Amino acid sequence: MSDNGNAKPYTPYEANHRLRNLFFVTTVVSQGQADFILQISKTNEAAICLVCRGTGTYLRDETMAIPEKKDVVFSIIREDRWASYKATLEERFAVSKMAKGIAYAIPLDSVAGVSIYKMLTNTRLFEQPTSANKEKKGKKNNG
Amino acid sequence: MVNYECIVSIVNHGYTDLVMEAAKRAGATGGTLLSARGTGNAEIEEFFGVKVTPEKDVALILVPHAIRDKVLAAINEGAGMSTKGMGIAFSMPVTDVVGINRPEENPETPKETK
Repeated sequence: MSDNGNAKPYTPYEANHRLRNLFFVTTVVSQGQADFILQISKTNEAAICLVCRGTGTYLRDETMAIPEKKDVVFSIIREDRWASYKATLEERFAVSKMAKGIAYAIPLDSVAGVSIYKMLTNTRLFEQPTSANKEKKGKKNNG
Repeated sequence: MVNYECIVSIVNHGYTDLVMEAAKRAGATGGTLLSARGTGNAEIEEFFGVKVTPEKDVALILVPHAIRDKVLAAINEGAGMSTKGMGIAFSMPVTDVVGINRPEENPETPKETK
């Protein structure tokens, strides 16, 4: 039996499951600012983020030759999300000298299997639960 | 538009200055250094029953594509396998960069003179 009122609206398969390229993104910011980068990475559906402590070697003033401590954030972001991530970073880097940093994207050639690809691209998030599914879930929990 | 390359250099712990000096001589402006551990089997030694893993440093250097070969050659010469750094270096293509002040995009930026 099918209930037309609660039927799942038709969505083309391509809309949810189109293959998208992935970028391996490296973001270098001053120490203590990795939290913001993690936050915008999450907003842009980055599946994995890794924060490392690093040292910058670019010395603006050679007389004050103190290497700067940096936070280096490695993340994997979908190609279509890069523009949004980049725009947010540009805004952030323009706030002040302390907020400056760099980021660059390296395209990934391959990943180890479909499940890994799905995890990295956050594919499950596209599959929004329908109202029918929500009701069923509610009944299960109550019953 | 300038195309950039990310040069990754892995050297023995404490020898990143060799890498950065060589890279800067070849035209790189700076880089980021990370600490790491090597896992090459030949290098893992047992010392009184305790495994000693060799510590490594990783240098990430972003350079314009035009000077990539020059920087790689300089790193190989200054911190390569024949030096105390025992380093390797390789480059990866970068599709897009944020945060680098590119003179061709901002004509008001004064060019550095040496």
